[in-house]
Amino acid sequence: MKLLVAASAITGLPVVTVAGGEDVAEVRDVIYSPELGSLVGLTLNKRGFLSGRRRQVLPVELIHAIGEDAVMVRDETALTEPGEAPREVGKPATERNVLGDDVLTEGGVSLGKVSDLVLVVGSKGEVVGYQIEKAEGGTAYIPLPAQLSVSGSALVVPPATQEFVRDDLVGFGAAVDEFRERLGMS
Amino acid sequence: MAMSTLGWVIVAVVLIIILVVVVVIVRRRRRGGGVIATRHEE
Amino acid sequence: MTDSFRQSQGRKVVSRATAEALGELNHMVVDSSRRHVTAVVVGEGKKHAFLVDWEHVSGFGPDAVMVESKETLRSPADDQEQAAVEGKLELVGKRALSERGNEKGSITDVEFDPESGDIGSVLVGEERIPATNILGLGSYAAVLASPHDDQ
Repeated sequence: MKLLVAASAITGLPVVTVAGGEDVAEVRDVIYSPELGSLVGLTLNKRGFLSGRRRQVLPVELIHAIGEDAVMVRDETALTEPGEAPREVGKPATERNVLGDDVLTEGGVSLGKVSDLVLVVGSKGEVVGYQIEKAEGGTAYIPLPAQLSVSGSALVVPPATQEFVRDDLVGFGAAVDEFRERLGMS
Repeated sequence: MAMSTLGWVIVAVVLIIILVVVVVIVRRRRRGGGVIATRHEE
Repeated sequence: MTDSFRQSQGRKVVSRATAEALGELNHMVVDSSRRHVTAVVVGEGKKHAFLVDWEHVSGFGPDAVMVESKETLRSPADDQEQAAVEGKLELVGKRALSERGNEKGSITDVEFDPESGDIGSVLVGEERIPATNILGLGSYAAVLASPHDDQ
């Protein structure tokens, strides 16, 4: 079964080259496209206790793997000048953020507000679900279908999503698989 | 200055606390970081 | 016959020509494919550590490392060798990171053939891994290859 991790847990991880075994940068922001349902890239900080931003960014295609302890790249050439990277990564938006958006089922039930993304460990930033703040309080995890309807300031999900809400990431991997199977059958 | 040892200890502790707070704030501001979701302008 | 990096740490280095003690072995230097020992580091510190190329090691024994003569001690020739001499590329104790980005622990030892200088396996915790599985070695970590179905 797949290991899952929250996108916010990726921030601050070292970016390490496979070829050189060097920590060349640190993860600053995780940039996500709700339309694509996957990461588009990462912005970076320099390594060091009080260091600030690093100019170069990391587009998702150049990520070798995202792990629990590091983000791996082939070598230092993966770090891209902002002008040469896709616009969303080179000049990331700070507004119109899907985090904080309401999650509504097609039947009009609010499941909560998006508070984080759930990624597959070892992938290049595959997003399989959202962490939500439930209306009644507390956090939960909801699986994402392959196609998600993003309109205005709410995310609309299939009603079946409600059955696959989980309270922690441990059982969530299985829920994602079952949810996708269910959608595939309908 | 006619201040007791206890007085100096308190001063030292307060200075250390201020130093730690300043470092934490500076670090947070310089390193930032979080999850950003993009949405194309419609 | 096998020896290990950990066991050879601190071993006496002796000149075969004069039987003079030249110092202690502090680090082993490996080639870029992690298949062979290319040199040993004698002595400690930026200024008092020297390299002896493997060709000039006449006998790597369990009690002493014999080098041809004092003249075979040389200074680092480039940044890579300088880092090796300072212990930054030392495999023992190096963080072991999988190419999938997960920490596997630290390298606890490296097994090698003291006659040929060929490196066999590295030990990470309880696991024995062929040294050729090390895809990259730097000051931060040794990056280990992952099997395709693993994470």
